[in-house]
Amino acid sequence: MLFSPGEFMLKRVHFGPSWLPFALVAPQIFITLVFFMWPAGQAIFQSFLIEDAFGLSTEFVWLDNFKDLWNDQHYIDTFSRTAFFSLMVAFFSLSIALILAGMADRVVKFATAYRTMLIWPYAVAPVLAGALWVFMFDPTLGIVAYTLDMFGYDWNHKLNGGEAMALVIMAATWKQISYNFLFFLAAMQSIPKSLIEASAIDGAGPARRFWTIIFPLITPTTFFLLVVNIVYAFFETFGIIHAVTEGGPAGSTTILVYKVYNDGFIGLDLGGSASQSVILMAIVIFITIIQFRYIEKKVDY
Amino acid sequence: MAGVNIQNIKKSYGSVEVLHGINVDIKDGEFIVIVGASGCGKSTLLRMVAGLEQITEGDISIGGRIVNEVEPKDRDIAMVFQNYALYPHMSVYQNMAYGLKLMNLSKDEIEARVAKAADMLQIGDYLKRRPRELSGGQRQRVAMGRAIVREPSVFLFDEPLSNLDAKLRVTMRLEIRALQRRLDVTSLYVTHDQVEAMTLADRLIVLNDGYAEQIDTPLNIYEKPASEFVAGFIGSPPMNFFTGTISGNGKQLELDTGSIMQIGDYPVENSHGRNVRIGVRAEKFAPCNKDEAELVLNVAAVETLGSETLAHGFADNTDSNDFNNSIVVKLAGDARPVVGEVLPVRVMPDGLHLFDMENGKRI
Ligand SMILES: Nc1ncnc2c1ncn2[C@@H]1O[C@H](COP(=O)(O)OP(=O)(O)O)[C@@H](O)[C@H]1O
Ligand SMILES: [Mg+2]
Repeated sequence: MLFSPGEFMLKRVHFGPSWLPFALVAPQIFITLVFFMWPAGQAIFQSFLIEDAFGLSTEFVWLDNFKDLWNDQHYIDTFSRTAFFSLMVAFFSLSIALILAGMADRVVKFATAYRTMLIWPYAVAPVLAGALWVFMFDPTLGIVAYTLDMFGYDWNHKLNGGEAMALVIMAATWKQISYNFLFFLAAMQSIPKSLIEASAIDGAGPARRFWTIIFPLITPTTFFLLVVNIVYAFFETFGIIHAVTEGGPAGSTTILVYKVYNDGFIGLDLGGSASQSVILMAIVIFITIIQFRYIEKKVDY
Repeated sequence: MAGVNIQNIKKSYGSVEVLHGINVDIKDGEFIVIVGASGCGKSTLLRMVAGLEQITEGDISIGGRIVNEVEPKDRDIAMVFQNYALYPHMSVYQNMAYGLKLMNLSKDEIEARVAKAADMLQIGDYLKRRPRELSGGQRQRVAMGRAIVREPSVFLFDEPLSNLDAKLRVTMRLEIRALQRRLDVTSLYVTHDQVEAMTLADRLIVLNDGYAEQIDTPLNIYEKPASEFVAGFIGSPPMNFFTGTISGNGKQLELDTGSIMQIGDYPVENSHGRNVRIGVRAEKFAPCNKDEAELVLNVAAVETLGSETLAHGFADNTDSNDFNNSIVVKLAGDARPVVGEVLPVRVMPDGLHLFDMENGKRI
């Protein structure tokens, strides 16, 4: 028998029906329903409709919006541009944060001050971060553009698509480094000091200790951050792009989220925009499933 | 193979000095145990030999070479940590081979060394496992293996057995000692467990608050403790202490509780009237008749251990609620004292230890 009758009674008494748990989760459920589920449902519904530009007539077209996207070369280009942008942002923000955390882990004096300073960028709003970078790189006023000019390089991200892409990648990377830094540093500091000492006695110098001991041991954190960074680059960089390039020049920095906004609010193609956001939703769900199913299980020692 | 010379070693963290000048010359192949209470500086001393801690003052030499500024990897040492410090993402084999690869040994040489050590430690069956798939005792062996394969001149152990259960601790203790004899490698071993210290050491360093109170063989330390601290720290049950005065022209001790003890041929000259601390080990009391008793115990607790029986009691005129001033007497295993009984005892001829009242040094 699994439980004695007495035990069973006890469980019944403790976990019997009560209004309290429902009351406690109700606000959360309410917020989720109103601000997440309802808009998501609306988006899915909208993605099956075609509306004329003046909003006078709507027509239910099933999957036509998605078919149009599939055949739209602009959309396919945006997809690969987004992938490129996200991978670059994730790669640079992770590598730079890793180097900084590796150094901070070894710093003893003024460690707190050093760390606090590295955390500041995270507190800056995306649009402000964007404005800051625009200001530094402004072709006529910016200090960096001016410096580059002295070396004979003519920087103009307002005309040159590649330079515009480089600039938004820099701004988005800069903003995310602090976050990654915090996680990397915490992970490194949770490694027992004696492991590092043992490898020092075994004959490993600082660089080898980092690559053979520290880096493998923080793999779970690295995977977690990789997912977080890709999601960040996909969705949360809207503010930066809006402030720095507005998706230009000639769409060369228009990533998927920005295209949703552009097609929906500027181009007033509500159906097409909605179906794009449905695709984005699917991507998030997919990434999240990968994270839960694969990564969280695989990496533990 | 190399000896270790530690000369006037001091260590400060900021303005706090935690080691106050340690001197010891360790011979090649000697097994030295550093013993002392928690926080007295044992690990700090060991870690300075390993090169994991800066030396504030003094010199450490290994094999005749001063190593103060030498990197840990170039000191020709190996260390076993209290938490074993095995690399969790590597197999047992990789853990042992890690340092050998960094020595640029050939693959064959590495395999041969690991196989030999694994055989010695009986861990050959686990070479493919990760550390987390091993029991505490097996991890301990792997940590030892990782030290052995390096074939160092000096082994350093920092409380390597303190995470094991009591039974395993005894087995591993014997194994470590046998292994060290076989390999004949100079060893420094840190522990807070005085039984471990006594059984392992060729020589003991008893550390108290950053001072080396006594450096000698276990038996000498047991029989002639250099200070009251050492006398109280080494030996189980701990030594009994009394306060008293030398009287009768150096022939007698008058305890504060009123009892009189005979000094016998203990060398105290011209000391009439001197206040002293008196130490007597539990096994140096012999039960006797009431009229020849030097001390009369009112038995308050009895511990029957089988091979021996410990009677705890209080002399007349002492607070019989505070077991801090209780006196313990070791009796034969079949002795059956009862609580409330009166137990007259006298000190055996060689049972006395006298210490200076002020500095605790042996008289
Ligand atoms: N990194 C450190 N900073 C400051 N004080 C320390 C440090 N390491 C050890 N100490 C102090 O030095 C003393 C000796 O420590 P330790 O050698 O670890 O003692 P133990 O004998 O228990 O091994 C302790 O009082 C401890 O608080
Ligand atoms: Mg210690």
